[in-house]
Amino acid sequence: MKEVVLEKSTQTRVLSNGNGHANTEISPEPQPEGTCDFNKRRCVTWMVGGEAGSGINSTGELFARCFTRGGLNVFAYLEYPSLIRGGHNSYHIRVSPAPLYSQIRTIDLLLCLNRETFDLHHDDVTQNGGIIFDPEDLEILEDEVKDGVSWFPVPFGKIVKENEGLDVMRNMVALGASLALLSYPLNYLHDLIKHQFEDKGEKVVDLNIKMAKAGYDYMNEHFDPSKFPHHAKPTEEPARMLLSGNQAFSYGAMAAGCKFFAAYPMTPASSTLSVFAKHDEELGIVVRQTEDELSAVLHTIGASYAGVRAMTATSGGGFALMNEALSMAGIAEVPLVLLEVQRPGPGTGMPTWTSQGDLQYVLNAGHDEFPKLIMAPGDVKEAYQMIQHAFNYAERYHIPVILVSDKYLSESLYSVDDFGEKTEIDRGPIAAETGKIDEDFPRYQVTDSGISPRTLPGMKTGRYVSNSYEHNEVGDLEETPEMRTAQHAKRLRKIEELKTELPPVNVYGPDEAVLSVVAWGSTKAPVLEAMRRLAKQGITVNLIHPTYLYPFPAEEVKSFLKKAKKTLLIEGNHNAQLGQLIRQETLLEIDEKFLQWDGRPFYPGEIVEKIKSLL
Amino acid sequence: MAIELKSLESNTFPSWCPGCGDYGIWMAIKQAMTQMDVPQENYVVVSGIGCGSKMPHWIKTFGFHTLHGRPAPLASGVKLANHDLNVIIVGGDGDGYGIGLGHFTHLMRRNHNLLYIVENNQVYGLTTGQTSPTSDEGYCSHSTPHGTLEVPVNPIKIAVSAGATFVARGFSGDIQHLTSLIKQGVEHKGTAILDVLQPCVTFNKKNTYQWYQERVRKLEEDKSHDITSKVEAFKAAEEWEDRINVGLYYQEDRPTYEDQLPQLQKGPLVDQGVVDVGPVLNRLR
Repeated sequence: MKEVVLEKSTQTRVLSNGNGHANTEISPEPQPEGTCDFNKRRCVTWMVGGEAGSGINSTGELFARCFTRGGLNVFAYLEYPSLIRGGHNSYHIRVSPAPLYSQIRTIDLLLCLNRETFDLHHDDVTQNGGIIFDPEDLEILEDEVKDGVSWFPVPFGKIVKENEGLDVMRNMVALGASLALLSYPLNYLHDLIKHQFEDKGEKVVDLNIKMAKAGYDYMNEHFDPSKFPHHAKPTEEPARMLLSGNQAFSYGAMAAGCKFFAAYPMTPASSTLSVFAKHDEELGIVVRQTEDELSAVLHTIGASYAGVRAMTATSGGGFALMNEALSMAGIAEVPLVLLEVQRPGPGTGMPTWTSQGDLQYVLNAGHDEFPKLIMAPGDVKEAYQMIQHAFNYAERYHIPVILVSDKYLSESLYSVDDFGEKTEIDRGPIAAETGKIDEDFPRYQVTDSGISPRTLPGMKTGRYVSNSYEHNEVGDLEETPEMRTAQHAKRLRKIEELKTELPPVNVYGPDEAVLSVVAWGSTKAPVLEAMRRLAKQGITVNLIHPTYLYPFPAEEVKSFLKKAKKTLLIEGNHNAQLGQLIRQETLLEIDEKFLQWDGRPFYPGEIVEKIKSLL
Repeated sequence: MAIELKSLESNTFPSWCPGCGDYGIWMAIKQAMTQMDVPQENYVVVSGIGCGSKMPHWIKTFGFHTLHGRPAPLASGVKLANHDLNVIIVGGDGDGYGIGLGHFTHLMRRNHNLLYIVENNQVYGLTTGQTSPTSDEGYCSHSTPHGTLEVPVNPIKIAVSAGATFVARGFSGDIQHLTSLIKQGVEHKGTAILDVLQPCVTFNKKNTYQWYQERVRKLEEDKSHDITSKVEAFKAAEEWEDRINVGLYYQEDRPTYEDQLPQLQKGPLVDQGVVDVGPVLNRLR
C-alpha cells in the first residue's frame, strides 16, 4: 500500500470552492446578517416561492443565470414537494463575486408568488431586506412585516394585462422587478429569454422581453432601488457555467466517453436521464428509458460487457431493485458505473428531499462478497471529475463503481468557472486477438493482482462465457472448493490493488484546529461555509472529507483523527453511518455528532452554532 | 464461410438429464448456426437461469449466463452497444414468462433485431419440479399439491399483443423443424420469439414427448393460416388440449429499434469515438 502522509495532503488540499487546490486563503465570509455591501465581495440572497406548478424552477434558474452570465458566483437551492400542482416550491439563490459553498438561511429579497411563501419564509428575511408581491394576489398587512423590512407591492397580473401578455408571463414581470430592485442590469435576462424562447418564435421572445422590461420599469418608477441596501453588480469576469450535480455527473460521464445510459425515472436521479437524452444524437449516445430499475442496470451491464462505456442512475428504492445485478457484475467481472442519488427513505420516504441515509446500504449492497468501489463527491466539480475516474476504475478493475450523491448535491445549482484538466481515458486490459474462435479464453485467469484481461463479443478470438455462477478460468460452471476459493480470492484481491492507487483524502482548513469536522458527500458545502464564518471569528476548524469511501482510507483517517483536538461528525442520517464505517475501519470513535435526518440539508449557521457550543 | 458443427462443440458435455428436451434445442441451435452465413464470433448467446439457461456453455461462441429472468434486458444492452452481433436469448418458461415476464413484454415493444428462444417445459426443473407459469390449470406438483388454480400464461398471445414481429412455436422432438424456425428467427429483421415445447422427463409427467407428439400440428401445413393476421395468430394460440400448433404464427415487417436510431447509422456504438463535450458545457454559461 502506498504510504500517504496526511500532513502533505493537508497542505495541498485546502479550501478550494471546487476551483482547484493549493489555495490556503479562506475566502472572506460573504454574508454578515443585515448589511450586505456587494462592493466588499459580499452576497445577495433572493428567494422565489409559490405554488408547485407555477414555474418556480424555471424562474429561479433564469434569475440565477443572469448572475453567472455577469461573471458572478451562484449557489441555488430548490425545495419542492412530490406533486405536480399545488404544494409549495421555493428557490433560494445566493449571489456573490466571492466563492460560495452553500445556501444560507437568510433572504435579502423575497419574491412571494403566493401567501404561503410569505408565511413560510418572511421570518428569514434580513432586517433591511425586502418583499416583492402582487397586492392583487395576496394580502400582506403592514404589521405582519418585520421591522426594517421593506415591502414592494408590484401588480404582476395587471402589468401583464396592460402589456397584452399571457398570464403565464407573470413570473417574467416579477423577475424584471427583482432585478431592478437589486440595481442589476436587465440585458442578461434579455439575452436569456432570447435563447430560451427562440424555438417558439420572435413573437414569444418579444412578448417575454416586454414583460420583463415592464416589471423592471414599474419597480424603477414606483420605488427607489438606490435606497434598497441590497444590490448586485456584474463583474469583468467571463460568464460562469451554472449546473446541478446531476448535470455534472452526466456531462462528466459524457466527457469520459460514456455512450450508453439506461435508467428508470426516480426522483431525485431523474434529471440525469433527460440530460443524456438531450444530447444523444449530438454526442452519439444511446439512451434507454427501461421498464424498471432491474432492466436499467442489466441494460447497462450488457452494453458494458459488449465494450461500450455505460452507466445507470437511480435513487435508494431503485438501487434496491438493482442489487442482484450489482452482485452479478461483481462475479461476472463486468465494469459497471452506477449513480445512487439518495433521498429519505425507508420505503418511498420523501422523494424530493435530501438524505445521507443510504451509505451503509450502498457499502453492503449485493449478496456475498465482491469488490466494489464507492465514491461520494462533495460538489459539482468533484462530481464531474470523479465520475470520469469511476469509468477508468470500473474498466481497469472490472468492478462495479457506485457514486453516491443526494438530492441536495444533485439538484442544487452551482456556478463553476471551469472543470480543469481533462482526465485521460483508460479502457483497462483488453486481450489481443490471437488464436482461434473455438479455443476457450481464460477470461477469469487467476492472477496476482486479481485483474484478468477481457475480450469483447465479436472479437475474432477470446470466446468465453461471462458468468453469474461461480466458474473456472474460462467461465464454465465449476463448484470445486479449490476453484471457488481461488476465484473468490482473485476477485477480492482487486480491492487490495485498487487501494494502492486511490488519491489522498481531502483535508480542508489549517493543520492546527480547535475542532476537526468529519463529513462526507454534499455536507462538505455547508461545513466549508461554516468554517469561513468561524475563521472570521478567530475559531479555526478543519474538515476531513473522504470522497473514496470504499475501500476506506483507514490509515489516513486514523492519523488525522488521532491528531485532532476534538472531533465532530456531521452527516444526514440518524445512525451516524460514516461514524460506523470509521469505527469499523479504524477502531476510533468520533467525539461529538451532529446528525440530521429531516430531509433538509445542513445550514452553515446551524453548524457554526453547534461548533461553538462544543468549545 | 459457414460454421462447421465440430467448431461449435465445447469441451464439456451438457449436464441435462438423459432424454431432456434441451438436447433437441441445443442440436437445433447448432444446426441452424451451421446453415447461416454468420461468423461464429458474431453470435452472443445470453441466457437466464434454469436447466436450459446453461446453453451458452455448450455452444462455442461468446455467451453470458446472467440472472434468473434477466437475459432480455442484458441482451438488449449488448445489441444496442454492438448491433452487428447476432444475439440469441435462451431461457426457460419460469425465466421468461414468470420472473422475467415484464422484461419479456417490453423487449417485444422495442423490436431489437434478435431471437429469444424460450425452452418451455411447463415446470421448474432446476428447483426440482415446482409449478411454472405455463403449467396447465390443475397441474399438481409439490408447490401446488392440490393443483394450481392459476390459468397458464399464453406466451404466443402475449408476444403477438406486445408487438413481437416474429412469433413461432417449435417442438424439441422435431429437431429439423425447430432448426428451420431458429434459422428463420435469426434471419428475421426484428424481435423473434420462439416458444419451444420441451418435455422435462424428470419432473413433468403430464406433458411428455408422447403427449406433445399426439397434439402437435404444423401451421405451415394449414394453408388457411395467415401469418400477417394477429386475429388468426390468437385463434391458433387458443388451441392446446387437443391440438397444439407449431410453426410460424405471426410475422410483421416493422423497422428495428437499431435502424431507427440516427446515432447508430454510422455503425455500431462500440466502434464510435468519444465526442468532445466542450461545446455542450459552454452552453451552460
